[in-house]
Amino acid sequence: MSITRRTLLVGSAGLAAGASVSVPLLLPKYQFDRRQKRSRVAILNVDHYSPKLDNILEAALQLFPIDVVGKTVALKPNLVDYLPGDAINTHRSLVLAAVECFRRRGATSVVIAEGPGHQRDTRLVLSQSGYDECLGSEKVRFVDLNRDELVRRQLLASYTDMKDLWLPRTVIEADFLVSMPKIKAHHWSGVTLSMKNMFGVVPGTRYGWPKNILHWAGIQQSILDICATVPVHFAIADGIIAMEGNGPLNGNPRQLSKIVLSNDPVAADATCARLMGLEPNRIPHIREASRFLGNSCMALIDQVGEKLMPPKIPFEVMPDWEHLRYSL
Amino acid sequence: MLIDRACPRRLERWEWHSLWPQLSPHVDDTAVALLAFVREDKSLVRSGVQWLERTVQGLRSPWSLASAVLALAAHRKPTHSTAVCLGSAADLSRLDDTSTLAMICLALNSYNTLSAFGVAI
Repeated sequence: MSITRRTLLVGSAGLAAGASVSVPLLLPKYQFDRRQKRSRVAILNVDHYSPKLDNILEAALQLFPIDVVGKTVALKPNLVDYLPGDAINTHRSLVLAAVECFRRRGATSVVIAEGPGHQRDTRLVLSQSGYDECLGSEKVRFVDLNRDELVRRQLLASYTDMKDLWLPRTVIEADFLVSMPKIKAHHWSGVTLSMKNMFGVVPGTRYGWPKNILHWAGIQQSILDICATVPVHFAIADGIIAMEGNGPLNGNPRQLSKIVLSNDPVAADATCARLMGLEPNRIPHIREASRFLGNSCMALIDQVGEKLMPPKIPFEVMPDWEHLRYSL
Repeated sequence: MLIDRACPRRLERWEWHSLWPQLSPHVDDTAVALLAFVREDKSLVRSGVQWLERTVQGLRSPWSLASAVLALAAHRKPTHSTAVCLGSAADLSRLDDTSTLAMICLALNSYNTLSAFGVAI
């Protein structure tokens, strides 16, 4: 068969067009690999909130080689809105215990920083959830991330079409960022843990409530872009009273009696998911994050503290997420 | 949708249907909705105003208080005690966000603020 110049030209043009469409789909959406060789996770059994949590937390932090001497520490709890009970927001006693521990470890400043995603009136959430009184008595600074000074940052991953985000200066300039989620099932993202908790750093005054732009850009994709751009140095997850079912607001409290600590947010979230009786690698943002942000595979996680024991009955989840549950 | 979000009776009905636990309406959203309904005399709007009057009693948060003062003033309800509470809020001196400060200024001068939007009180 002879190939004419015309056939060759048409064929080449077709190949070039095909490549221009398919190559971007094949390219990775991240340009770096932040994974540690091994990650460390500690599981603590704690069955109630108390003012003595700082001693428990202090003992657990000694299992990690953390150096915050001379550093600014930002603690990012999960404060969404207020309903009576302890299942929605990261409990104040755990956050204040973390403040105390990082101060003892020589941090120059420790701030609590959050931008609630559901309630615009952050002060109201603080007062209703009991934070206001504690913040005053402990002399802790709180920064409302919905209204902080903003800095434009180019995103370091491209799972969404957003090229950049305006982010709060307090978070960008913190030397050591600690994500402190509440362990909850979530109707749209499967779970909300230390990575999903980072939605709270995106300012509502710029992007709306409940962080509309991120929902439109894709929740799983946004989680990955944010966590790639704003590194979480440590995670402390509140699972003493967790939430199952229709989280993050309308689910049911579930006594899990666990606090999870990790120097890797992906490992923390994978472990929390296992404690909920859910398969972490079926959760899209955890599975994808394990390619470049951290480790979800148990073989790469050094488990310290209590043993990882999945519950006999997995957490209830919304029907769309039923496939996450370990088979009974 | 605006009425669903703003008025407690309606919200409760919606939540009863979906069998979800009740989420309280937000003061600031309710206040903004009531400002939009300032010329309406529907029972849902009246119940929203009554809800706001009741709810504002125990509030100490400047943003919500300021929103409530503006809405109640627009609906010709007494706002003096709420405005006093707002002006003397303990943490006003610690406020560093300009949107809340602006809202407080607008609320403490509610007559002129509402006049600027064509609402006579």
